[in-house]
Amino acid sequence: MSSIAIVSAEEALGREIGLAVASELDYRLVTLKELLALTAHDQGLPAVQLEEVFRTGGFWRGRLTKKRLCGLARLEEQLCRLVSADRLVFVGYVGPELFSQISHVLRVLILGGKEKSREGEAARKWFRAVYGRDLEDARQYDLTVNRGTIEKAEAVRIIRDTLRHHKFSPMTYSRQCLVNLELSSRVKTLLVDAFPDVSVKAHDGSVWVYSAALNRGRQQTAAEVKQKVLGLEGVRYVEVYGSRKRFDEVACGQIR
Amino acid sequence: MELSGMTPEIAMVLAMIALAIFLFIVEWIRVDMVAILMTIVLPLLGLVTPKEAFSGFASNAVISIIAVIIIGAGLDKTGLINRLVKPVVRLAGNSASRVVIAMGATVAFISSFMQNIGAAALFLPAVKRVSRSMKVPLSQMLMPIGFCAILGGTVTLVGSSPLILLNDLLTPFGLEPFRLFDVTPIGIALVVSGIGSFILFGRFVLPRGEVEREAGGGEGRLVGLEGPAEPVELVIPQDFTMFRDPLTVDALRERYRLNAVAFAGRDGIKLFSLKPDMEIHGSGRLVVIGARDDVERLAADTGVRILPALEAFAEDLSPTFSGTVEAVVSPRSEWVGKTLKEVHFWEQFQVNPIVLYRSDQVHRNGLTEMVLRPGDSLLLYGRWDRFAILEQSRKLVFSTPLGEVLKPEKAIFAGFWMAVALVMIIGFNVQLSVALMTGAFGMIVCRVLTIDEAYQSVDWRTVFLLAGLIPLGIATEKSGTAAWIAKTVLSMFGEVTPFVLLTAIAVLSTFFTLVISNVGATVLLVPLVVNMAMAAGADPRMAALVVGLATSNSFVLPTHQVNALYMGPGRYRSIDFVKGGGMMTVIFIVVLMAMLTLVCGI
Amino acid sequence: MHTVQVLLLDDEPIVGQRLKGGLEKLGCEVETFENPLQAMARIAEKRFDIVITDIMMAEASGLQVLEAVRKTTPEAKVIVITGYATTALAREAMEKGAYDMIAKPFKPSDLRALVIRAMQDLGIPAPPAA
Repeated sequence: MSSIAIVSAEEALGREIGLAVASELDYRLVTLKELLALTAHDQGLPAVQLEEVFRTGGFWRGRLTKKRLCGLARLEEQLCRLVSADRLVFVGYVGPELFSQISHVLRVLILGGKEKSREGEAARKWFRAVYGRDLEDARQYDLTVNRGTIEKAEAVRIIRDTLRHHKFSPMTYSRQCLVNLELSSRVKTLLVDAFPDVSVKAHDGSVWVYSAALNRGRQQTAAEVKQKVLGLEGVRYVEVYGSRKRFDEVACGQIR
Repeated sequence: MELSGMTPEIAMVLAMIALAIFLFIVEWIRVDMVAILMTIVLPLLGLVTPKEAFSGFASNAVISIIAVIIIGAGLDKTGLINRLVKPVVRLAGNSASRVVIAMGATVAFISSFMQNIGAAALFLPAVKRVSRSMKVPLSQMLMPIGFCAILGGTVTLVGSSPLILLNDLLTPFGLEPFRLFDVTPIGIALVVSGIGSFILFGRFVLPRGEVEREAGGGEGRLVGLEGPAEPVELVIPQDFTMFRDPLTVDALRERYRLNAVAFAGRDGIKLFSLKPDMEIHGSGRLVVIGARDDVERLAADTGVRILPALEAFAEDLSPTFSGTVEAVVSPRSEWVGKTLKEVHFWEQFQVNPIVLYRSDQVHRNGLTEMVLRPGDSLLLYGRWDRFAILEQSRKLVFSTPLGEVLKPEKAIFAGFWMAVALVMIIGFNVQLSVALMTGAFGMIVCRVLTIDEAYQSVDWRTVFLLAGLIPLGIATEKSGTAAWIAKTVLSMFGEVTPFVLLTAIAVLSTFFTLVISNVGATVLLVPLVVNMAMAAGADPRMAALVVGLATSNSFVLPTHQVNALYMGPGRYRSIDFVKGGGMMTVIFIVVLMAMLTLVCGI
Repeated sequence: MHTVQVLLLDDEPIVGQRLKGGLEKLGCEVETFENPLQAMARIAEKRFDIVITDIMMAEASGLQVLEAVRKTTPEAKVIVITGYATTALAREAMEKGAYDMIAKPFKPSDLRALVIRAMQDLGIPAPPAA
């Protein structure tokens, strides 16, 4: 079954709609706070480290620090697992790329009324710093609901009806995507500490890894990374690149 | 023969020389023992002082040879020698004669501008490797190549100690000094005739030895596997995995009885242990071990291409870097009761298990899931450096010796310190022993090799042989024996032609260089022969040159440093030197005299 | 009993070559095509139960093939295989009535599993081999 990602800068607005949709459809509701708690529990991490991920400010050259990147990768990994279990309503703004790749996740943006809260502003700022675009860019969502003009019950009905479209139902491809994303986020978690610029693509047990630190002069390091990734459950093949161009050609173009 | 001027000391020294030569030849005791005997008997007879008796151990020559051996070991450990020798070996191809020609010429060239012993020590490991890889006995190659190192010393005026000394000795007589390349035509002729004679007659004079066996059992066959088990490199076609169920390392073993031991994907990154569920993907290189039939079956089924020889993995999987060992699960091992998968064997140790022997059963499949029992024996294939780590972990007990771990990353340090030593010798005239010891020390400090490895690399036979003969030289000079022989022999000839005189000088120098050091012989003989030549109406410069060159004619006994160095590894006995070196000595004198007549017109 | 009729269309010959045998083992009768126009002509004259089609082809898009099948035999199951899979394409294919979509490269076993599911949905019992 499909899942729904509800994104809103204003936490309260998102949670309100999420709760209503989940009870209407009998889906499981997970908010960003709950995701943090789940991840901390499942992966044995201090919750403080995960909360640190969302601190605004403290960006080094516009990017998250190593430790925070690692935390984010773990959150995304957890989120993949939650989505895999189906019938999920997630309220939060992590992993937008994750959802954009899974066709059976309906992405809903909830816009608030007039006043913008301080927390909302912090969320927008954080999102822009981490993902490099506007949180409230409507083109990135399947559905945008403006709570200034649409009532809660109306919003829930719209979301429910949209979800009925055949195009939001899961298929082999979108399920594969989810499995691939889950694997690549696991690889990322494994490597992000040593290689903060790491990019990972996965497809059907094969993994492609990029980091500028894995260039031709560092054969030994590259081989070690390869061994390490191969040691992960579910990984059956690995290639490692130090050239972004080559990585894009091989992994993002045609995976052949 | 006139015996005027003979003293009891001279008689005793002559007796000791005779005894030494006799013992060298009959070999009742080993040559180094003969040398040690000299260090005891000479002071007991009062021919040298006790201090002089052991002064050889502190001599320039002995310290130099120790340092050169350490430097050579360091260079070898980094694989630098391998790299140096590779082009030479490739040039030589598959024939032992061509290897002797190519390596002999190279070593002669190198020794023409550096110490002979240095060049010889550099090539020893290289010749060893070639011998192993081409299955030619070491004894068939080492002696000719060693002789080339000695002959190479005659190619330039800085090639050997006697020639370096020569100009200094001519100065008191007001004779014109020789220039650097004055001796080159003669030297080249000597090298060419030396190589040529071994190519033509080598098989009659060289002993048949055995090919040294590789450490780690790299005999081309693996126990428990049918057929040859050399690693075979396969090219995986680009469309290999497309719309086909993937081939895993495990499936390769189960369906084709092939062990995949190394893989490089499109990214070119090489893996030397492949975990069982790893898939083989297209556009890569795979190395498998197994029977030829099975490899061909795989090729026919899947379209992989078999390479005639290792290509991308040629260096990594050469016997120098990797091989097969057998290891036993000891009763106290932490691995008892666990599977290889559970102990993360692939990730942690990065070697490939190939066969598991349990009592009389041989298991090839499903090794991952087998619960290990004490006494299980694993046949493993991998790189020596990885085995070293596994051995240190003490999880398994190795029942075959490991190959040595090379440190290619240290090559730059080894090369640097070698260069430092050379620059000190050539550029700054630093004494050989000091310069070479600096190089050796530098390599140890830079961890090219450990100090213990350095100690182990030194061959004590060589050290004692050289050090022990030095007091004999001292006694010969001190007692006046050398002068006495020179006078006596030269006076025997009376009025002779310059050619006969020079030939006699050549023979005399040859004899002297065998018994006392070449430097000692030169110092002693040059003033004598210059006087003799002047008296006989021959060119005194030519007479001096004959001494300088003929003191390199040291082949009949393993007393020359190079011969001493090669004696042990080549498993040569003194008689081998008498045969091979005897031939060389005669040819040396003939060629020397012919060239002097042709080039210098005596 | 009715033999399941499968049309397999991909402009890369290797796809047909390598997948045909596996599908035939499931008891299907498989026709392979490399040209979408020829495939569509064939669809117009013969009833297929399962159509497997690539998307990016020079002569026509796989989506056109999908529409053609929907028009002639709406009950047929269309499986889309593509190397250029995106969320947008997946949703478009599903909206246009595709039965399922799978991204290249895939293992033959993945496609076989899909075909077996389609056969079950068509009311044809799964072959014992599966």
